[in-house]
Amino acid sequence: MANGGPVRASARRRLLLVCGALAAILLLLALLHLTYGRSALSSSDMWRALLGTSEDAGARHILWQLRLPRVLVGLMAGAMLGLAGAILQIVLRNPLVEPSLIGVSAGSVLAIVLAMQYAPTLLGSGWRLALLAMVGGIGTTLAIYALNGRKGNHGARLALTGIVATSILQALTSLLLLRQQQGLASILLWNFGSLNGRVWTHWQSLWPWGLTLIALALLLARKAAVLRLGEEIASGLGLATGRTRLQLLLVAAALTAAAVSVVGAIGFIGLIGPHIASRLVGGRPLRLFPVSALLSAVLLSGADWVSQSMTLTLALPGLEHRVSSLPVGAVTMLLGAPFFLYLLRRSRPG
Amino acid sequence: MSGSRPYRTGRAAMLPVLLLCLLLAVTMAAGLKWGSRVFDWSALSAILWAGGGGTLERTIVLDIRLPRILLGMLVGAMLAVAGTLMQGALRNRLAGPELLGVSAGSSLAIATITVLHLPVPFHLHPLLALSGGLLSGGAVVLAARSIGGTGMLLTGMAVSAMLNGMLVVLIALGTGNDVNLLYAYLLGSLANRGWEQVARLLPWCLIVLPIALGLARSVNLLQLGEETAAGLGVRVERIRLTVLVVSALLVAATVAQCGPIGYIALLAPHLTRAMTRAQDTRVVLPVSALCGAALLTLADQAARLWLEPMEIPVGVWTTLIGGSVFLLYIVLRRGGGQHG
Repeated sequence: MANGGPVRASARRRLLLVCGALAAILLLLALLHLTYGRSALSSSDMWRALLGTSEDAGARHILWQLRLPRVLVGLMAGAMLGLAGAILQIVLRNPLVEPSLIGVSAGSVLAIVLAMQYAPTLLGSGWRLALLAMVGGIGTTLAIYALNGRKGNHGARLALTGIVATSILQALTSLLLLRQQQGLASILLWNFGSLNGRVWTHWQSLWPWGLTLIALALLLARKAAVLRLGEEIASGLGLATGRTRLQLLLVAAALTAAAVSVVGAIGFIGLIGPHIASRLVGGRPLRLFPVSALLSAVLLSGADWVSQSMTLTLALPGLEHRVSSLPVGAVTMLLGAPFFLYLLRRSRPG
Repeated sequence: MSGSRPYRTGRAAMLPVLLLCLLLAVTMAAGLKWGSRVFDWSALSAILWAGGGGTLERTIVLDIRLPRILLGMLVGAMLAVAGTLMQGALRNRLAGPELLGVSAGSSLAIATITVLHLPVPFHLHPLLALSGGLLSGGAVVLAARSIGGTGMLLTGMAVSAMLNGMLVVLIALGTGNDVNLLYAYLLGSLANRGWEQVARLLPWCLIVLPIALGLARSVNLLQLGEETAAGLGVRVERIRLTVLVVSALLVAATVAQCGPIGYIALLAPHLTRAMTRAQDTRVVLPVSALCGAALLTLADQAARLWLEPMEIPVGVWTTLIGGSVFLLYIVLRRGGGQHG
């Protein structure tokens, strides 16, 4: 404690360094996304469109109307999912939880699909969609939390309950979508998550929620830090633990639901981001929350770029002339599942 | 578990067996009678036994409805046997092919063949599905050996998630919007199957099911616990491996024809144990095969008839119902479980 000053200063320097580096990567990724995509236009055309010196209306349209909103939606959704993951891991005191693993995403998706089918008039605008998704997400969170009871939220059991609940909710979603004859495209979109075809309207319905909720989460970070000390110490320090936990859970569910209502149930981003972030800056929520948001934004955006450009290079037999877009959720799943295995093995030695 | 309880003989199983047979018969009759075209009983029996009816009617009953029901019975029985074997061999009541990654591995193998148009003859499909299922199932079992029951299931689910991700990549890249492929490889369906599929499945069924029944005694010993079994002269690891391979074989053969149909393998053994109150695998195995057959045909006919003329793949229903029951089971078991 005596040398708390220098330690704190160096930690702050580290935090600034990490944040700066992440912001730089973010910018780089966005530029990469904007200029090296799949289109007939060369990347020098796109650079000219970006710098405002292009006469080509097509290039300008692609850049400003198609690619830019997609990049922005990806970044915002990634940040929201990552932050939600970080909060959930702290509140549930469980390194294995993640919005899509404990059923929040699937619940949100189910609420949206239900509304699409039975009350399409409710879906007038984007913010209502997000609100509906929140009802589903928060409901699922509370249900899972209650099913496990307070003692059962430790360890792997919560993840198991969550995964089974997710598969039930996903089956329900598939059922509804199939009844509606919407088939594969929308099942893939909602159950795996995709950034394909995201335009400015999506961004407009996402950013108000995103900014508000991220700000709210950062405001709660100090309380989360106290909560992290343990139930008894936290209540000894005068924190209303039950209420704080509920607040944090609600914010996490709302973050997830708002993101999911625009991009579908993209999995594992909220697992990888916070864990790498805690390696970089430690587990204190005040530092962890912003860094995991940034890092997850980088991750999702990167995964999206990979999923978009994969079709460019893949030349499998029979697939040469197919042009289709891979849902980014599939890529995050491929990246995230091994990571989950690694965490699982690390969290239960022996 | 309850290895200390004295094994009962099969007499307690008589009533459940009769009930299940009755259920199966009723489902079968209903499945043959109703549909987009409804027959009355006399016409149905004429078509079935006396060679009556027009060409169209005969085709509907004999070439569309009958093989589908038979396929459902075979698949249900094979899945249930696989589930019983796995649960016994791993001494984990929550084990099942869908939770250990076996189904996902098999469907990925089959999807790869179909989507990429690899030149593989049909009768070899189950073998490739088997290698896929064995690879993923084996990886899960080996990776999770030290982390206990729940950890093994979570490992299996993570591996399944990964394989499903690859599957989505494959379908999305390969085929645009082919809904049928999704039904077949992600959801599991018995629709649009005919005698051809029954014929492909039957040899596997006839060869592997007797082997599985022959393993019942060893599984009984494994259930007593590793040390007791070893003390009784069982080569635990070898038997366990054999049992897992046999059950993976059963699952892979079904996945090659119908896709991964979830939770039948998990539910049927539990239902059987609850109904017969037996722990003896020699009793549980055949009864749960019957139970699985009845469950799957029932679910399939419900899927076919309820929302007619729309059809929801049966895998969706079994996941919905089986998953809910399973969830309930996890939650209720919390008090007594020692596996995490």
